[in-house]
Amino acid sequence: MELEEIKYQYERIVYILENNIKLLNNTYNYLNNVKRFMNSTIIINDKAYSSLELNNIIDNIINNINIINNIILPNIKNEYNSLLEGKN
Amino acid sequence: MKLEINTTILNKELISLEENINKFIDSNNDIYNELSKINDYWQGMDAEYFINIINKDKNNCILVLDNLYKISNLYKEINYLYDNIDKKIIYDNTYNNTIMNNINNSIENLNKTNNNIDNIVLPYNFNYKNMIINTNNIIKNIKEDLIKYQDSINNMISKLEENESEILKKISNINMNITNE
Repeated sequence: MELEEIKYQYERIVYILENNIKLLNNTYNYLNNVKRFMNSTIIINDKAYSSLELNNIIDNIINNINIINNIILPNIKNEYNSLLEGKN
Repeated sequence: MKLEINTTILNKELISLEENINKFIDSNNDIYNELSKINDYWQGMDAEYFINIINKDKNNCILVLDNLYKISNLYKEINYLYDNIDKKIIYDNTYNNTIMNNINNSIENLNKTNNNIDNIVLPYNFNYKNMIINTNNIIKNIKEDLIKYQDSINNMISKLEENESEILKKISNINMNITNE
């Protein structure tokens, strides 16, 4: 496979993953809005309705953002750089 | 629309109301028993007049009792609408649309994230292929969980709205009935 094509594929993966991080960050903000508005929508025995499911979903999203941001992306970028150095 | 139902207080009121209804029935029975004894001493036109007044009063008491039973039944129905009568529930639908829009936007974003990965072309022997696929699967699962959460919130809100409109309808019905009678 041509180097240019491989480079393009790596750049595309990085672009898509960075875009996905933005989408996941937006999702995180939307879900925090849900949590905030739910707090004033349903109150049971003087306590805002809190959902374990929603908290788990928010935690999972943060975990995924961290995995992509701190593990997958830096590794792919390193591999891309080594690929460029090796070929050069 | 905001409706606050404190079912603990409602339940106490219901018990107290039923006790008072029973006291009212007992006390009326005592009064009419005594009056019927006095009735034996009346004769002629005076007796007829006396009986008419007592009957009229009895009928009024029956109407009052009827209304008290209606209120008591209303309390029971409101209690029944909330599964757990020990809970104080405040429901305010001001932000329903905002909540639903935020959940929909989240689902849409997760869909885009999945589609992005599904359409990606990974280089041959790419070291992070499994990691990316795993992350994508986890995001798909998060989306499924979010759809389930959306369903459960929808169910809860529609149940609360249904209860709220039922309660308001019943309160307005009983108000109308009491006013008419």
